[in-house]
Amino acid sequence: MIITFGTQKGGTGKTTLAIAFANYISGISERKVNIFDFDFQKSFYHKWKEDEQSELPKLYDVEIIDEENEQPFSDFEHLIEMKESEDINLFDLAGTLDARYSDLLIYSDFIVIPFEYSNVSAKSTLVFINFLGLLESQAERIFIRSKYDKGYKYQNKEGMDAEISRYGLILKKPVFKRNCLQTIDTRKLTYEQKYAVKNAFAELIDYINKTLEINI
Amino acid sequence: MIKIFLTILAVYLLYYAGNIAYDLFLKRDSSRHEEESEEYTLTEFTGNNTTVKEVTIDDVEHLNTPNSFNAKELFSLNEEEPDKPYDLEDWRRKFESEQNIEVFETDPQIDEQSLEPKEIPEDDRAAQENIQNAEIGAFSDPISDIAKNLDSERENESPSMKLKQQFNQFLSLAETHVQVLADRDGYKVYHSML
Repeated sequence: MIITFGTQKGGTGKTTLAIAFANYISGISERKVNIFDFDFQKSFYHKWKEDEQSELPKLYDVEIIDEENEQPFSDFEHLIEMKESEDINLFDLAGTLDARYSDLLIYSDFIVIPFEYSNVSAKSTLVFINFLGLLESQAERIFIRSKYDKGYKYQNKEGMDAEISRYGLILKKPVFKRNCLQTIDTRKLTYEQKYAVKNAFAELIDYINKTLEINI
Repeated sequence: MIKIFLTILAVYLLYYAGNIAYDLFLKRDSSRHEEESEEYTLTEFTGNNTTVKEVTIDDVEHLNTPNSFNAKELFSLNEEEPDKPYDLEDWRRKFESEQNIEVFETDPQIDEQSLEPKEIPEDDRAAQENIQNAEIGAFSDPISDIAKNLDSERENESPSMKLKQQFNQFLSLAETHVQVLADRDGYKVYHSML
Protein backbone atom coordinates (compact mmCIF):
# COMPACT_ATOMS: atom_id res chain seq x y z
CA MET A 1 0.00 0.00 0.00
CA ILE A 2 1.04 3.62 -0.39
CA ILE A 3 0.57 6.10 2.41
CA THR A 4 1.59 9.66 1.65
CA PHE A 5 2.12 12.48 4.10
CA GLY A 6 1.46 15.72 2.28
CA THR A 7 0.25 19.28 2.58
CA GLN A 8 0.36 22.34 0.41
CA LYS A 9 2.28 24.27 3.02
CA GLY A 10 5.23 23.51 5.24
CA GLY A 11 5.38 23.88 9.00
CA THR A 12 2.45 21.73 10.03
CA GLY A 13 4.69 18.97 11.38
CA LYS A 14 4.40 16.72 8.36
CA THR A 15 7.88 15.18 8.53
CA THR A 16 7.74 14.85 12.32
CA LEU A 17 4.43 13.01 12.04
CA ALA A 18 5.76 10.89 9.19
CA ILE A 19 8.75 9.83 11.30
CA ALA A 20 6.51 9.19 14.29
CA PHE A 21 4.11 7.17 12.15
CA ALA A 22 6.92 5.16 10.56
CA ASN A 23 8.35 4.35 14.00
CA TYR A 24 4.94 3.59 15.41
CA ILE A 25 3.87 1.28 12.60
CA SER A 26 7.24 -0.48 12.59
CA GLY A 27 6.62 -1.30 16.22
CA ILE A 28 3.16 -2.76 15.77
CA SER A 29 3.17 -4.27 12.29
CA GLU A 30 4.87 -7.32 10.86
CA ARG A 31 4.90 -5.77 7.42
CA LYS A 32 7.99 -4.29 5.86
CA VAL A 33 8.08 -0.52 6.02
CA ASN A 34 9.74 1.41 3.16
CA ILE A 35 10.19 5.13 3.43
CA PHE A 36 10.59 7.43 0.44
CA ASP A 37 11.66 10.96 1.15
CA PHE A 38 10.21 13.00 -1.69
CA ASP A 39 11.01 16.32 0.00
CA PHE A 40 13.77 18.28 -1.72
CA GLN A 41 15.04 19.26 1.72
CA LYS A 42 15.43 15.54 2.49
CA SER A 43 14.79 16.12 6.19
CA PHE A 44 13.61 12.56 6.82
CA TYR A 45 16.57 11.06 4.98
CA HIS A 46 19.12 13.28 6.71
CA LYS A 47 17.67 12.40 10.10
CA TRP A 48 17.80 8.73 9.22
CA LYS A 49 21.41 9.05 8.09
CA GLU A 50 22.28 10.93 11.26
CA ASP A 51 20.77 8.16 13.34
CA GLU A 52 23.05 5.55 11.78
CA GLN A 53 25.45 6.19 14.65
CA SER A 54 22.79 5.14 17.09
CA GLU A 55 23.15 1.81 18.86
CA LEU A 56 19.53 1.03 18.39
CA PRO A 57 18.60 -1.23 15.47
CA LYS A 58 17.41 0.23 12.21
CA LEU A 59 13.63 0.10 11.84
CA TYR A 60 13.37 0.76 8.12
CA ASP A 61 15.21 2.02 5.06
CA VAL A 62 14.79 5.50 3.67
CA GLU A 63 15.24 6.26 -0.01
CA ILE A 64 15.41 9.69 -1.49
CA ILE A 65 13.71 10.81 -4.66
CA ASP A 66 15.21 13.96 -6.10
CA GLU A 67 16.18 15.64 -9.36
CA GLU A 68 18.96 13.15 -10.05
CA ASN A 69 16.62 10.26 -9.49
CA GLU A 70 14.39 11.48 -12.29
CA GLN A 71 10.78 10.56 -12.80
CA PRO A 72 10.61 7.72 -10.30
CA PHE A 73 7.12 6.97 -11.49
CA SER A 74 7.60 7.20 -15.20
CA ASP A 75 7.49 3.47 -14.90
CA PHE A 76 3.83 3.34 -14.07
CA GLU A 77 3.85 -0.37 -13.30
CA HIS A 78 6.32 0.17 -10.50
CA LEU A 79 3.92 2.56 -8.81
CA ILE A 80 1.04 0.12 -9.14
CA GLU A 81 3.29 -2.63 -7.82
CA MET A 82 3.97 -0.53 -4.75
CA LYS A 83 0.29 0.15 -4.35
CA GLU A 84 -0.60 -3.52 -4.50
CA SER A 85 2.33 -4.63 -2.39
CA GLU A 86 1.91 -5.99 1.12
CA ASP A 87 4.65 -3.63 2.27
CA ILE A 88 3.87 -0.29 3.78
CA ASN A 89 5.31 2.32 1.43
CA LEU A 90 5.38 5.64 3.14
CA PHE A 91 6.08 8.87 1.28
CA ASP A 92 6.99 12.18 2.83
CA LEU A 93 6.36 15.11 0.51
CA ALA A 94 7.69 18.65 0.63
CA GLY A 95 5.64 21.57 1.86
CA THR A 96 5.58 22.90 -1.68
CA LEU A 97 3.67 20.99 -4.31
CA ASP A 98 5.66 19.76 -7.26
CA ALA A 99 4.62 18.45 -10.66
CA ARG A 100 6.48 15.22 -9.91
CA TYR A 101 4.00 14.46 -7.13
CA SER A 102 1.02 14.14 -9.48
CA ASP A 103 1.07 10.39 -10.03
CA LEU A 104 1.83 9.67 -6.41
CA LEU A 105 -1.02 11.86 -5.23
CA ILE A 106 -3.40 10.19 -7.67
CA TYR A 107 -2.50 6.60 -6.87
CA SER A 108 -1.75 6.71 -3.14
CA ASP A 109 -4.09 4.63 -1.02
CA PHE A 110 -4.11 7.20 1.73
CA ILE A 111 -2.98 10.77 1.94
CA VAL A 112 -2.43 11.91 5.49
CA ILE A 113 -2.80 15.66 5.73
CA PRO A 114 -1.68 17.32 8.95
CA PHE A 115 -3.32 20.68 9.50
CA GLU A 116 -3.71 23.45 12.02
CA TYR A 117 -6.51 25.94 12.55
CA SER A 118 -4.37 28.96 11.76
CA ASN A 119 -5.70 30.94 8.81
CA VAL A 120 -2.71 30.13 6.63
CA SER A 121 -2.83 26.43 7.36
CA ALA A 122 -6.64 26.24 7.05
CA LYS A 123 -6.55 27.91 3.67
CA SER A 124 -3.67 25.87 2.31
CA THR A 125 -5.41 22.70 3.46
CA LEU A 126 -8.38 23.62 1.31
CA VAL A 127 -6.09 24.51 -1.59
CA PHE A 128 -4.57 21.04 -1.23
CA ILE A 129 -8.05 19.48 -1.14
CA ASN A 130 -8.97 21.38 -4.29
CA PHE A 131 -5.78 20.29 -5.94
CA LEU A 132 -6.38 16.63 -5.13
CA GLY A 133 -9.88 17.02 -6.54
CA LEU A 134 -8.55 18.49 -9.79
CA LEU A 135 -6.04 15.67 -10.07
CA GLU A 136 -8.94 13.28 -9.47
CA SER A 137 -6.90 11.55 -6.83
CA GLN A 138 -8.24 8.14 -5.81
CA ALA A 139 -6.64 8.36 -2.39
CA GLU A 140 -8.55 8.48 0.86
CA ARG A 141 -7.90 11.81 2.54
CA ILE A 142 -7.16 11.62 6.24
CA PHE A 143 -6.85 14.88 8.11
CA ILE A 144 -4.96 15.04 11.34
CA ARG A 145 -4.95 18.01 13.69
CA SER A 146 -1.34 18.81 14.31
CA LYS A 147 0.28 20.90 17.06
CA TYR A 148 -3.11 21.11 18.71
CA ASP A 149 -3.36 23.17 21.87
CA LYS A 150 -5.80 21.64 24.33
CA GLY A 151 -6.26 24.81 26.34
CA TYR A 152 -7.07 27.08 23.44
CA LYS A 153 -10.44 27.61 21.83
CA TYR A 154 -10.06 27.74 18.07
CA GLN A 155 -12.91 29.95 16.90
CA ASN A 156 -12.98 28.51 13.40
CA LYS A 157 -12.74 24.87 14.49
CA GLU A 158 -16.42 24.06 14.00
CA GLY A 159 -16.62 25.67 10.59
CA MET A 160 -13.36 24.23 9.30
CA ASP A 161 -14.17 20.75 10.59
CA ALA A 162 -17.52 20.86 8.80
CA GLU A 163 -15.86 21.96 5.58
CA ILE A 164 -12.91 19.56 5.70
CA SER A 165 -15.01 16.55 6.68
CA ARG A 166 -16.79 16.83 3.34
CA TYR A 167 -13.61 15.63 1.69
CA GLY A 168 -12.30 12.95 4.00
CA LEU A 169 -11.89 11.74 7.52
CA ILE A 170 -10.76 14.05 10.31
CA LEU A 171 -9.19 12.01 13.06
CA LYS A 172 -11.08 12.71 16.27
CA LYS A 173 -7.91 12.55 18.33
CA PRO A 174 -5.49 15.36 17.61
CA VAL A 175 -1.73 15.30 17.98
CA PHE A 176 -1.14 17.78 20.75
CA LYS A 177 1.62 20.30 20.75
CA ARG A 178 4.38 18.49 22.61
CA ASN A 179 8.00 19.44 23.01
CA CYS A 180 9.05 15.81 23.17
CA LEU A 181 8.18 15.43 19.46
CA GLN A 182 10.85 17.94 18.57
CA THR A 183 13.57 15.48 19.51
CA ILE A 184 12.15 12.56 17.58
CA ASP A 185 14.54 10.21 15.78
CA THR A 186 14.10 7.36 13.31
CA ARG A 187 15.06 4.53 15.68
CA LYS A 188 12.59 4.72 18.50
CA LEU A 189 9.58 6.38 20.07
CA THR A 190 10.06 7.36 23.69
CA TYR A 191 7.22 6.81 26.09
CA GLU A 192 6.20 10.47 25.91
CA GLN A 193 6.41 10.54 22.13
CA LYS A 194 4.34 7.41 21.83
CA TYR A 195 1.82 8.81 24.25
CA ALA A 196 1.58 12.00 22.20
CA VAL A 197 0.69 10.24 18.95
CA LYS A 198 -0.78 6.86 19.83
CA ASN A 199 -4.44 7.86 20.02
CA ALA A 200 -4.41 9.58 16.64
CA PHE A 201 -2.34 6.84 15.00
CA ALA A 202 -4.48 4.06 16.46
CA GLU A 203 -7.51 5.74 14.91
CA LEU A 204 -5.65 6.18 11.63
CA ILE A 205 -4.57 2.53 11.49
CA ASP A 206 -8.09 1.45 12.39
CA TYR A 207 -9.41 3.39 9.45
CA ILE A 208 -6.78 1.94 7.10
CA ASN A 209 -7.62 -1.59 8.23
CA LYS A 210 -11.31 -0.99 7.77
CA THR A 211 -10.98 0.67 4.36
CA LEU A 212 -8.62 -1.91 2.82
CA GLU A 213 -10.13 -4.78 4.82
CA ILE A 214 -6.72 -5.85 6.02
CA ASN A 215 -4.88 -6.11 9.28
CA ILE A 216 -1.71 -4.12 9.36
CA MET B 1 -53.36 123.72 -17.36
CA ILE B 2 -51.56 124.58 -20.65
CA LYS B 3 -48.25 124.27 -18.79
CA ILE B 4 -49.11 120.77 -17.61
CA PHE B 5 -50.30 119.77 -21.08
CA LEU B 6 -47.11 121.10 -22.67
CA THR B 7 -44.98 119.27 -20.11
CA ILE B 8 -46.78 115.95 -20.81
CA LEU B 9 -46.37 116.53 -24.54
CA ALA B 10 -42.71 117.33 -24.12
CA VAL B 11 -42.17 114.14 -22.00
CA TYR B 12 -44.04 112.13 -24.63
CA LEU B 13 -41.96 113.58 -27.47
CA LEU B 14 -38.80 112.87 -25.54
CA TYR B 15 -39.94 109.32 -24.91
CA TYR B 16 -40.82 108.94 -28.61
CA ALA B 17 -37.48 110.34 -29.71
CA GLY B 18 -35.76 108.05 -27.24
CA ASN B 19 -37.61 105.03 -28.67
CA ILE B 20 -36.58 105.95 -32.18
CA ALA B 21 -32.99 106.40 -31.11
CA TYR B 22 -33.08 103.03 -29.31
CA ASP B 23 -34.52 101.28 -32.38
CA LEU B 24 -32.03 102.89 -34.74
CA PHE B 25 -28.84 102.27 -32.78
CA LEU B 26 -29.07 100.11 -29.70
CA LYS B 27 -31.45 97.48 -30.99
CA ARG B 28 -29.62 97.01 -34.28
CA ASP B 29 -26.35 96.70 -32.43
CA SER B 30 -27.66 93.94 -30.24
CA SER B 31 -29.14 91.99 -33.18
CA ARG B 32 -25.89 92.29 -35.06
CA HIS B 33 -24.08 91.05 -31.99
CA GLU B 34 -26.40 88.09 -31.78
CA GLU B 35 -25.71 87.10 -35.38
CA GLU B 36 -22.01 87.37 -34.83
CA SER B 37 -22.12 85.20 -31.78
CA GLU B 38 -24.12 82.60 -33.65
CA GLU B 39 -21.62 82.58 -36.43
CA TYR B 40 -18.84 82.36 -33.93
CA THR B 41 -20.29 79.29 -32.22
CA LEU B 42 -20.95 77.62 -35.54
CA THR B 43 -17.41 78.09 -36.73
CA GLU B 44 -16.09 76.85 -33.46
CA PHE B 45 -18.38 73.89 -33.64
CA THR B 46 -17.32 72.91 -37.15
CA GLY B 47 -13.64 73.60 -36.49
CA ASN B 48 -11.18 71.07 -35.09
CA ASN B 49 -10.43 72.98 -31.94
CA THR B 50 -13.49 71.62 -30.13
CA THR B 51 -12.61 69.83 -26.91
CA VAL B 52 -14.58 66.66 -26.27
CA LYS B 53 -15.38 66.26 -22.65
CA GLU B 54 -15.58 62.74 -21.40
CA VAL B 55 -18.44 62.02 -19.06
CA THR B 56 -17.72 59.03 -16.91
CA ILE B 57 -20.09 57.06 -14.75
CA ASP B 58 -18.61 58.76 -11.69
CA ASP B 59 -19.64 62.17 -13.04
CA VAL B 60 -23.18 60.94 -13.47
CA GLU B 61 -23.10 59.40 -10.02
CA HIS B 62 -21.94 62.62 -8.40
CA LEU B 63 -24.33 64.83 -10.35
CA ASN B 64 -25.94 67.49 -8.17
CA THR B 65 -29.62 66.74 -8.08
CA PRO B 66 -32.42 68.35 -6.11
CA ASN B 67 -33.11 66.84 -2.73
CA SER B 68 -36.46 65.56 -3.87
CA PHE B 69 -34.64 63.09 -6.08
CA ASN B 70 -33.17 61.37 -3.08
CA ALA B 71 -36.34 61.37 -1.07
CA LYS B 72 -37.47 58.03 -2.42
CA GLU B 73 -35.15 55.05 -2.84
CA LEU B 74 -35.62 53.12 -6.06
CA PHE B 75 -34.56 49.86 -4.50
CA SER B 76 -35.06 49.48 -0.82
CA LEU B 77 -32.12 47.93 1.01
CA ASN B 78 -34.34 46.34 3.61
CA GLU B 79 -34.99 43.33 1.43
CA GLU B 80 -31.60 41.84 2.24
CA GLU B 81 -31.86 38.81 4.40
CA PRO B 82 -30.69 39.04 7.99
CA ASP B 83 -27.12 37.91 8.68
CA LYS B 84 -26.67 34.24 9.32
CA PRO B 85 -22.89 33.99 9.14
CA TYR B 86 -22.56 30.53 10.64
CA ASP B 87 -25.27 28.71 8.76
CA LEU B 88 -22.89 26.59 6.71
CA GLU B 89 -25.53 24.51 4.97
CA ASP B 90 -27.29 27.57 3.73
CA TRP B 91 -24.04 29.03 2.36
CA ARG B 92 -23.09 25.77 0.78
CA ARG B 93 -26.38 25.49 -1.06
CA LYS B 94 -25.91 29.02 -2.30
CA PHE B 95 -22.38 28.32 -3.58
CA GLU B 96 -23.38 25.10 -5.22
CA SER B 97 -26.28 26.64 -7.05
CA GLU B 98 -24.02 29.47 -8.23
CA GLN B 99 -21.48 26.95 -9.39
CA ASN B 100 -24.16 25.05 -11.31
CA ILE B 101 -25.08 28.21 -13.12
CA GLU B 102 -21.45 28.84 -14.02
CA VAL B 103 -21.00 25.30 -15.35
CA PHE B 104 -24.18 25.63 -17.38
CA GLU B 105 -22.96 28.86 -18.94
CA THR B 106 -19.46 27.66 -19.68
CA ASP B 107 -20.20 24.23 -21.16
CA PRO B 108 -21.83 25.31 -24.44
CA GLN B 109 -18.93 27.68 -25.11
CA ILE B 110 -16.41 24.90 -24.77
CA ASP B 111 -18.45 22.72 -27.13
CA GLU B 112 -18.58 25.45 -29.72
CA GLN B 113 -14.86 26.07 -29.50
CA SER B 114 -13.94 22.43 -29.71
CA LEU B 115 -16.22 21.90 -32.70
CA GLU B 116 -14.46 24.40 -34.89
CA PRO B 117 -10.76 24.31 -34.14
CA LYS B 118 -9.69 24.62 -37.78
CA GLU B 119 -10.74 28.21 -38.02
CA ILE B 120 -8.22 29.30 -35.44
CA PRO B 121 -5.01 30.68 -36.94
CA GLU B 122 -1.80 28.78 -36.15
CA ASP B 123 -0.33 31.52 -33.99
CA ASP B 124 -3.34 31.85 -31.77
CA ARG B 125 -3.84 28.18 -31.47
CA ALA B 126 -1.43 27.51 -28.61
CA ALA B 127 -2.84 30.36 -26.58
CA GLN B 128 -6.37 29.21 -27.30
CA GLU B 129 -5.49 25.69 -26.18
CA ASN B 130 -4.09 26.98 -22.94
CA ILE B 131 -7.27 28.84 -22.17
CA GLN B 132 -9.35 25.85 -23.11
CA ASN B 133 -7.26 23.57 -20.92
CA ALA B 134 -7.67 25.93 -18.00
CA GLU B 135 -11.42 26.01 -18.49
CA ILE B 136 -11.79 22.34 -19.13
CA GLY B 137 -9.57 21.47 -16.19
CA ALA B 138 -12.25 22.66 -13.84
CA PHE B 139 -15.29 21.07 -15.39
CA SER B 140 -14.49 18.12 -17.61
CA ASP B 141 -14.57 14.45 -16.79
CA PRO B 142 -11.40 12.38 -16.32
CA ILE B 143 -11.65 10.43 -19.58
CA SER B 144 -11.82 13.50 -21.77
CA ASP B 145 -8.99 15.00 -19.76
CA ILE B 146 -6.74 12.04 -20.32
CA ALA B 147 -7.67 11.93 -24.00
CA LYS B 148 -6.86 15.60 -24.33
CA ASN B 149 -3.55 15.10 -22.57
CA LEU B 150 -2.65 12.27 -24.92
CA ASP B 151 -3.47 14.41 -27.94
CA SER B 152 -1.45 17.33 -26.71
CA GLU B 153 1.47 15.06 -25.90
CA ARG B 154 1.58 13.92 -29.47
CA GLU B 155 1.55 17.49 -30.68
CA ASN B 156 4.09 18.77 -28.22
CA GLU B 157 7.66 17.59 -28.27
CA SER B 158 8.13 17.76 -24.51
CA PRO B 159 5.27 16.11 -22.65
CA SER B 160 6.89 16.82 -19.31
CA MET B 161 6.59 20.54 -20.03
CA LYS B 162 2.92 20.06 -20.83
CA LEU B 163 2.44 18.17 -17.57
CA LYS B 164 4.14 20.90 -15.67
CA GLN B 165 1.90 23.45 -17.34
CA GLN B 166 -1.19 21.48 -16.44
CA PHE B 167 0.08 21.07 -12.91
CA ASN B 168 0.51 24.82 -12.57
CA GLN B 169 -2.94 25.42 -13.99
CA PHE B 170 -4.43 23.02 -11.47
CA LEU B 171 -2.51 24.66 -8.67
CA SER B 172 -3.66 28.16 -9.57
CA LEU B 173 -7.23 26.92 -10.00
CA ALA B 174 -7.02 25.26 -6.60
CA GLU B 175 -5.70 28.46 -5.07
CA THR B 176 -8.31 30.73 -6.60
CA HIS B 177 -11.26 28.52 -5.69
CA VAL B 178 -10.99 29.00 -1.95
CA GLN B 179 -13.20 31.59 -0.35
CA VAL B 180 -13.58 32.96 3.15
CA LEU B 181 -16.94 31.84 4.52
CA ALA B 182 -16.85 33.42 7.95
CA ASP B 183 -14.49 35.37 10.12
CA ARG B 184 -14.63 34.66 13.84
CA ASP B 185 -12.43 37.03 15.77
CA GLY B 186 -9.82 36.82 13.03
CA TYR B 187 -10.06 33.03 12.70
CA LYS B 188 -11.33 32.44 9.21
CA VAL B 189 -13.48 29.60 7.96
CA TYR B 190 -12.65 28.80 4.35
CA HIS B 191 -14.82 27.17 1.77
CA SER B 192 -13.81 25.30 -1.37
CA MET B 193 -15.74 26.28 -4.49
CA LEU B 194 -14.69 23.32 -6.61
